[in-house]
Amino acid sequence: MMRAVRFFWIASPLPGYLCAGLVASVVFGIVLLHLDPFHADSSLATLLFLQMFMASSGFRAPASRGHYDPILVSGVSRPTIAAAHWLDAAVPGLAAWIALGVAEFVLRGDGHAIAFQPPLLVALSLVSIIPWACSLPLARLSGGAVWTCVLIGLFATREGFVAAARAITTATAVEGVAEVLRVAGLCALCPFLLLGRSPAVCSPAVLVADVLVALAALVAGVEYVKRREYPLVNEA
Amino acid sequence: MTGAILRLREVGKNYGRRPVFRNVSLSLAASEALGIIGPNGAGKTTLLRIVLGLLQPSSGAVELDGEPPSQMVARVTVGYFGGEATLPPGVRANRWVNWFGPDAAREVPERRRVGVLSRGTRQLVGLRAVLGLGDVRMFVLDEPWEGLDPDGSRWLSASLRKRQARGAAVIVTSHRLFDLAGVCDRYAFLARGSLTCVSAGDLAPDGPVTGERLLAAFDTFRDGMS
Repeated sequence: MMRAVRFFWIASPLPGYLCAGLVASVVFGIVLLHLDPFHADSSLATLLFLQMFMASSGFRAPASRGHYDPILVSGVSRPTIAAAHWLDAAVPGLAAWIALGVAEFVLRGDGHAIAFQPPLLVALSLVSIIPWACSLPLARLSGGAVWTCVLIGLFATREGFVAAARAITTATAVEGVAEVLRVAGLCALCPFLLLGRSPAVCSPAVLVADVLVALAALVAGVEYVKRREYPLVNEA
Repeated sequence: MTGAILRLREVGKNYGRRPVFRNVSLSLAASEALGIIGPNGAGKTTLLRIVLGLLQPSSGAVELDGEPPSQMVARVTVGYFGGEATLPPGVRANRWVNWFGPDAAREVPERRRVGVLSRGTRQLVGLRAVLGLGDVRMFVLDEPWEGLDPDGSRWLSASLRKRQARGAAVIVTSHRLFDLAGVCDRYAFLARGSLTCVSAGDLAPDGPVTGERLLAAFDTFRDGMS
C-alpha cells in the first residue's frame, strides 16, 4: 500500500496553486479562529470547498498517457492502487482539516472543536470521496467543478431546492424513512448544509445514510479502477 | 515449451469493430529475448499491454507463469517501459527513478523535471529506472532505442544482454532494426493482423543476425502478407 501511495505522491503531485490555496486557507482560518474561536464555520466551509477540488485528482487522463504504468504493472492489486490514489488526493485536505480542528480546540479552551463533530466529519468524507470518484474518468479538478456548477445551478434555478435546504437548517427532527432519505440526499448533494448542525442533520440516521453514500462512491471508484482497460491515448 | 514465463494462445484484439490482430500465439522462456517488429499501427504496443494485463484480449488467453497477467504480475516481477512520452512531465527525474529503487536512483543524478529534459535524456531516465530494478523476471520494453544517442544505444543493448544472461526474459519492440539485431533469440513480425515468429538461427543460419537481414525479413513478411 505504501509503495502505491508513494508512487502517486511522486507521479501525481498536488499542483502548486492548490497547495498555495490550501496553506492560505489554513493560515487565514487560524487567524479567524484567533479572533473568534467560537465561529469556525466559515473557515471549515472554505476548506470543504477547497477539498472538493483537491480530491478531484483524475485518473483516466494520466493513465491513458502511460503515467501510471509502473504502478499498474508492479503487482500491487487494483483495489489497493485505487485506495492509494484516493489517499493521495484526500490526505492534504484531511491534514489541513485536522490542523484547523486542533487550532480550534486549543483556542476555544473548553475541550470542544466543531471540526471533529460527526456532521462535519460526514461532510468532510462526502467532499473527499464523491469528487474523487466523479473525476476518475475525467480530468483533474473536474469533480469539484461539476459539483460546484450543479450546486450553483440548483440554488439559482430551483426554488424548491432552496426552500428544502432552508427547511433543513431550521427543522427540529426527522421522522420516517422517507424524510431521513430526503434530508440525507440533500446533505449529500450539498454537504455545506451539515455545517449548520441543525437537529435534522445531526440525526444519526441521516449521518449514517450519508456515510453510506460516501462509501458507495468509494466502492464505485475502486470498481472503476479495477475493471478499466488501460490503452495509451493514441492506441485505440 | 516447458518453463515458459509468458504464453499467448490465439490472442486477438479488436478496438470496437476494428480488428488489430488475431490468433497470435507465442511463448517466452527465462533468458530468452524476443524482438517484435512491425509497421506503425500493427498493434505492437497493444500486444505488449495485453501481455502486461493493461488490456484484455478480445479472444484467446495470456498466461504469465500459468496465470492470467492481472493475477500474476504480482509473482512474476515485470519491468515495463512504454517510452519517454509515458513519463509524467511534472515529476523530478531523480524522484521518479528513486521510486523504482536505490540502485536505479544512483544511476540518475538528474534533478530537473522530466518535461524540460531532451527526448533522449527522458528516454534514458525511464530506461535506467526500469533496468535498475532488481530480481526482474521479464522486461517488456516498447521502442527502447528511440531517441538514444550511440552511447545510450550501446548501454541499452549491453544492459539487455546482461539482464538476459542473469535469467530475465526480454520482450522488446523496435523500428531500429540495426539496434535490435543481435540482441534477440527470436524475432516476431507483426503485420496485417498476424504474427510470425522466426528464430535467429533460421533468419541467419550462417552468422549473426544483422540489421540488413532483419530489414530484408521485414520486407518479406510485410509483402508476403499483402
